[in-house]
Amino acid sequence: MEPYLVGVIGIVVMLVMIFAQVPIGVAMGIAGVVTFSVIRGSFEASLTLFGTETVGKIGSPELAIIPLFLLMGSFATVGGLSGDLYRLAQSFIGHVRGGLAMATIGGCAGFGAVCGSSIATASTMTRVSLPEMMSRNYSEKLATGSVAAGGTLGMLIPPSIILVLYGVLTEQFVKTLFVAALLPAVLAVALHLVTIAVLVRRNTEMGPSGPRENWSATGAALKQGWAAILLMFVVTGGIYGGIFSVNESAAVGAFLAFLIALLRGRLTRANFWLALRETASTTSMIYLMVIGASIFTYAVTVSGLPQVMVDGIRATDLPGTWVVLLLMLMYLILGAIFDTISSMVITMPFVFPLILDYGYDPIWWGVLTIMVIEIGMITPPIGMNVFVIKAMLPDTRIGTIYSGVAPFIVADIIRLGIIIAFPAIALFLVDYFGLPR
Amino acid sequence: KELAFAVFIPAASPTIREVYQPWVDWFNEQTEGTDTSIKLFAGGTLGRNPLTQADLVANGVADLTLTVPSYTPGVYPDYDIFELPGYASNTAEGSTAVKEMYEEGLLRGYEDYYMVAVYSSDAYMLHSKPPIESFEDIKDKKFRVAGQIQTAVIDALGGVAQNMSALEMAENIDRGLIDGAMTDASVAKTFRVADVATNHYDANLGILIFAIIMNKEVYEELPQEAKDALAKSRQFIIDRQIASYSAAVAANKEAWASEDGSTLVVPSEADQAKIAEAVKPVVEMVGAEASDGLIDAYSAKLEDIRSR
Amino acid sequence: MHHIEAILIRGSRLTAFLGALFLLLVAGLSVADILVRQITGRPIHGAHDTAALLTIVIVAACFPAGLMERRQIKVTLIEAFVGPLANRIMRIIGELATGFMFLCIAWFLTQHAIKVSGRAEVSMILHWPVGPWWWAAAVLFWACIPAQLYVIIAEIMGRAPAAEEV
Ligand code: NA
Ligand code: NA
Repeated sequence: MEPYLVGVIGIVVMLVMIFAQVPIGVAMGIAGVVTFSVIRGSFEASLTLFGTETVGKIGSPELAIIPLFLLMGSFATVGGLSGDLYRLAQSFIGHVRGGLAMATIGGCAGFGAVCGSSIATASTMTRVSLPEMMSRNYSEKLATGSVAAGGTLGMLIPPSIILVLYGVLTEQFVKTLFVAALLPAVLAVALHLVTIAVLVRRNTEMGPSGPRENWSATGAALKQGWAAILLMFVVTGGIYGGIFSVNESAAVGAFLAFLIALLRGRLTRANFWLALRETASTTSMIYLMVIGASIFTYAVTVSGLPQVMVDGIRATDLPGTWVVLLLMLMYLILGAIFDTISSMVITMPFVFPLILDYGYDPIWWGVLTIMVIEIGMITPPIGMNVFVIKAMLPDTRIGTIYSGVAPFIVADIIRLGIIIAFPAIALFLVDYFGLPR
Repeated sequence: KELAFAVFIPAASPTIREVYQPWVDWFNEQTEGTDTSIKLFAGGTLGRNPLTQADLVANGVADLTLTVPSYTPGVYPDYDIFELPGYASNTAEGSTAVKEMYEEGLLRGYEDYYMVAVYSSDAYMLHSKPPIESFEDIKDKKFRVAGQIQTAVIDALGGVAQNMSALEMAENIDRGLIDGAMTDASVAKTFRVADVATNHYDANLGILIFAIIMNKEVYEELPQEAKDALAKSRQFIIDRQIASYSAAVAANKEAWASEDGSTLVVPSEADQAKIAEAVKPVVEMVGAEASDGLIDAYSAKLEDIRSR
Repeated sequence: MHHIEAILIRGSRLTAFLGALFLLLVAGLSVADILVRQITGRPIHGAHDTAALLTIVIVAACFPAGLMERRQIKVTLIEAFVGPLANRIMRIIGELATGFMFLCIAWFLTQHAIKVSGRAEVSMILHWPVGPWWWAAAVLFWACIPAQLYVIIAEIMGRAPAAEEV
């Protein structure tokens, strides 16, 4: 049998295992080893991949950024920074119609700048902003929808775990990816705000306006929010300003978030335990996945399938734009089923060579990939952010959250189109700062 | 059988284009008619970790692989001598010396593998953002290094050694986190160090050894045509390496010497003596770990090569 | 069963906690390194080495608890469409597959530790032996085996994952 056909069968085997509820990292690892052994003719040799890949990943300094960013996010949550950021946003825009939903987006964006994960952002903001919105008679749809959608900003706005992962998997500079994600993130915030404005304009009941805060209240919010702003400033300033490397910014961020939580007296023994355990648990989840993905990538590469695919798609004479659009569609469908990291790591072995072959920019593609799979976080049936919110609100119907998030999905797809049409939005700052590619 | 050749350096790098792929093509031509061929897997698709490349071959995941002995400190002490400053001054001398010394059985290590080829980089230089015009200028400047011996050399010269991945160095020099890097003139260009560190101190600070190794059992089972082709491969690869690398190094140095905004300094004889004096302890340390008399044999070999 | 469960849960959580605590330590070391570097112009001797070696053990320490909590990323799309028995069988197979993968990892990590120790590999700056760190990682992966065995048995008996308590 042609090796690439073995590769195809390997992918099918992996998918069957995944749908049979085998953990994705395990499914990829085992399917990869089996595929590899069929192609190379030695099961014994291919089993050693479990060893070499684990050694490579747990010893990798690039991947070590991920647990550090996770730790920073955990301490930021424990330290109550999400609440501060929300109140700060609220003091500026809380008085307009739908203002609290807008403040939620603002708070999510701010918290996204100190936390690398979308789920963490959604879950903390649910705790912080949802009660406020409900007490002001916001519709349940708008309230939950804005938290779910705002949560996705957590991984688009740097630091972002998934951008780090993309950088490691495709050998791109993480810092360059972070900078490239900045303007698209601004665009995301703007479009989310517009979406809310349009919604409340059409239906005033959805998000009544609150009282205008006076300057002293804004001052108080600023005073309370200084720690969050400091953390944001140090981490982003560190990355962009050149005082330390991305790795170091993660370490500084984690330590500073710890200090803030400690000095604020938020670090009870229980909280401390919780923050560390949460970090450890998520770390093991991500590493298992990365180890499995890396074994599977081997197998797919050795099978020669990516080359066959690239040649096949080339032969159709399809223009590059169509290829990009089809890939986007594929990710939207995958995003409906898989969680974000999964759909990225599962597809990377064949998609990335294709994109390079068509001459597209890997940095731009990285931002685009993050954006499209982040939509998957809020689409049914598997929308992780929606699940997280639902888990915290036992009385809310999941359908309500999904319908609340629908307008934001439309806005996200519009943003996707804008970035595809104007790659410069992602690449302008990269070129402006002359960052390495 | 299709032999998998694992290479961890990026698929787009000049070495792949100008040395490995031509060699693989040549090998496959030589073995046409047999069922043996080599397939190149570049960019770490069979394993990204430069430190575990030899394991890939030992485990049978790949059949051939590119390894760098100095990346695993303490494991190949005989190969450490090539990283010492003041010996081989370019890739031709270094590659020839290491190949011949290996063939003469002077170098321990890699006994469990079939050595397909062994060759070297060009001589390390200091590339820095602030200018280095004399030996004294090295003092307290931070340089990116890779490996134990490079660390010891920079420390001995009065600089500050910093370990980081090759991908990070240009970025970190640009931001002033470090002042420069110790690499040869070709790597400085491919990893964009020269874009940000425009001052080049050409002080002959040692060479990096690369070894392409093959699983011995796999070798034993090859048809005679393949073994014959492999026997010629060591020279084939070295010739290619020297031709492409020397040209690239010469072009880069030429550009640095002539272009505005960049400088190329060759240390004076007095400075060279100072460097030699400063790194004496490193030479002694490496000599103590290496086989007896190996450094002297290396010097003799270089003299022999230069006299040809 | 309850007794063993208690020991496994406590043990794995403590391990994870210590792992993350050391992660915080590495972060602190990094901060100290930056400060010292800014002030004196030289980084802390060996900070890089220490962080690199610690990271290996830190990451390995996260796994036993991760397994005990059964929090791996899964696709549960068809859960709703098949009967409870089919679901249970699938979950058991999934946990068996996980156990197999971790057994392989533990085994080959041990081989790696033996190899690294045997050739006396040392770290770049401090020249610390690298072997013991890999041994520690291997031990932590071996500790995953009883944890996963427990999970498999629990899954066969139809017991839910240990509840979150602090
Ligand atoms: Na973020
Ligand atoms: Na989804």
